[in-house]
Amino acid sequence: MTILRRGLIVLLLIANIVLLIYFVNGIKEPPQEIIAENVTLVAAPDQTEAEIHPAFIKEEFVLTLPEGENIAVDKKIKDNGFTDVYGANRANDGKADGASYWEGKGYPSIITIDLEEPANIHAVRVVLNPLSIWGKRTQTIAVNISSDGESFTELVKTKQYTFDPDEGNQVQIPFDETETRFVQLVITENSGAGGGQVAEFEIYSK
Amino acid sequence: MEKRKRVLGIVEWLLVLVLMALLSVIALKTKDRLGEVKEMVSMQDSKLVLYEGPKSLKDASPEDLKAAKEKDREFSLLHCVDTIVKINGYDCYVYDTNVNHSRSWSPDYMPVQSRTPVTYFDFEGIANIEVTVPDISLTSVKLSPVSSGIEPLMDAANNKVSFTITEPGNYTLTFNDSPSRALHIFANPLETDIPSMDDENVIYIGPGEWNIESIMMEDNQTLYIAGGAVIHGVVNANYAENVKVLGRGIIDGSQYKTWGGSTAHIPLKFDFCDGVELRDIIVLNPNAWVLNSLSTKNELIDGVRIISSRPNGDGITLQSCENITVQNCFVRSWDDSLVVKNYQGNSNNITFKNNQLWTDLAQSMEIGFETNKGKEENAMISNITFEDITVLNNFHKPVISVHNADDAMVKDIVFRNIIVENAQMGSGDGDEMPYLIDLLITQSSNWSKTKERGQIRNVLIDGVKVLSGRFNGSRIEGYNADHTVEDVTIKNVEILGEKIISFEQGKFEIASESTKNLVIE
Repeated sequence: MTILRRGLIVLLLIANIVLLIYFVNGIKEPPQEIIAENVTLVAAPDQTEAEIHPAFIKEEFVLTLPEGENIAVDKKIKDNGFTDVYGANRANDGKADGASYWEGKGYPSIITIDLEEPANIHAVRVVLNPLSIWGKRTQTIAVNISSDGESFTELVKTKQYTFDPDEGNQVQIPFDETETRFVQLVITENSGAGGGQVAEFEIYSK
Repeated sequence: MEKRKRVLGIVEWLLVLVLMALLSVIALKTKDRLGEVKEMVSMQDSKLVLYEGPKSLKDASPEDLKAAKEKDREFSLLHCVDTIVKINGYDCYVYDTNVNHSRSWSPDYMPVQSRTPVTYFDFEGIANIEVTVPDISLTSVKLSPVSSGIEPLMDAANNKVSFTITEPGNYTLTFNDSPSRALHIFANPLETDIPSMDDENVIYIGPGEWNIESIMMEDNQTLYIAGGAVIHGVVNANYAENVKVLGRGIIDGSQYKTWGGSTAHIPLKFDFCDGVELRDIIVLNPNAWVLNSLSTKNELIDGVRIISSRPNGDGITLQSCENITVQNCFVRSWDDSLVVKNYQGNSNNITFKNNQLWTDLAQSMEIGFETNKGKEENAMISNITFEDITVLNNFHKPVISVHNADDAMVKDIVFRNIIVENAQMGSGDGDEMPYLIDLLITQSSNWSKTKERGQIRNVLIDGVKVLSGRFNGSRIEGYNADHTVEDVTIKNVEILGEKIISFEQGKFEIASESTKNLVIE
């Protein structure tokens, strides 16, 4: 009995010591500060002012106009419909900026200029606002001509053209010199709007 | 000898008892301590991403912080130096942007503007946030959304506030019950699925301050604006499919003067698109309205943060859109915060969910006024849901509004679980419509485009809680007996602790000749 009792005392003593050591040294508090490796600091580049982002630096575009003179400005112009306030007379007012553009209502969007007398012409230029906010788009265009404004014949077959602000947002459509009074654009597709768009419809004569 | 043995035996038994008692005490203490440690917050797995702001941004001087018209002081995005933010002990860059505390429309488009601090970071686990405001004598502090249940600790002696978050989200710290210099904290989750800058369909903009003029998104393109980036310009798309604008960076419109009724540079504009995803980005100081979609379908707007301060600075405007979800966004706006209207075509199946709003001017959640600007036949706005929306402040016009000023049918509208932390409708010239809820068919000289008037049908308003501010009334009014508001159910409304179970108790103005089947429960 004495041996058992004393053995028990020794066991209890050991248990107390072990638990005490565990209590003092064995219970670890979790880290109260973030581990440095788990912090990412994203640094800013050295700049003293806002810069043009490299992805948006454009090569300078040098515009070469068709030979001759644009004889379409302020001539009579009509369409087969327009959107909102963007009527046909905005397409030959000599301005391609701001809200000075024509937008057709659906397809085909047709816009016709009356040169008021027969003229020898060799190219048309279709212009959109050159600002980049007028994003790159395609328009499918045919050029028709007429001497009476009633009966039109196809001068340039329908074709898809790309308008790119980086390249002046314009397309030039040359053709063999021809005499006509009425010149018509028939637009059957525009990837950037619900109808054809023309900020300036220019017709060139030498 | 026997006696000594007996005494020794008793002493040994006593020792056994003492040792057993001691063991019990140590065991109990150990158990308590283990429990205590288990409860301790562990930073072991916490992660933090901090973004240095552009070095080109100037420090905001006291002069820059003065309330003034935009032409009379520095108006650009600045580096805030009077609000110091530390996250887990690390400095977090703070921006200083413009906000507007005017509560009246400004006919010259030049309202007086103030400034407020904005900061953001990404984290996982725990973020201990410490904010020091040396120039503010602290008397009280509030962390929004109040529903987070987080009570910030205020140390007035050291002009310091601290609190801990464990969930990403948008948080706003308001000092001394004033909107002035409230701190907006956008605490993002860690970023995943960052687009590759080598992908030819990705426009990748890294940290720094960049002029981009305008980006016209094309089919299948992604614009990624990285954290730490500030871009000046606009991002638009017309007739595009599958376009994305992602990232933690900022689109800032400070370089544009007020639109003044003529030239609006809309930071995010998506017209006639199919498949648009806008995620996480922050938009500050646009010169007019902010995020606009026209006749677009299948769009997700997730986690976008907006602060506008200039005239017509509507937050998120959806015109004639279909299948749109707007979620987890923060919109502080000096005009309507969330808007649905019809310009060209119908609006259908639009859900606003889990968004926070701070409406400095006009309405918080607005359907209308233009419901058929395109004057189309059988115009309709339908299946529009606003759910789990917290309005931190509304200072001007209705929190909840359906304003039908054209001939459209507006139907199947739900407002569910709307919390208004501070209701101040009717401030300034908002006194013409100081309502909490406003359902109205009207003819407006400003907005109506059709001669005929429309209808409002089947509106459910379930759960509106106003926590503080004013106990304002509401209005339900059709146009006449042929143009009516019908089938409206309002329930679970509580204003300043008072449960509203009758229209009279809720101070409703009801036009009986132009309304039918209105229920409040």
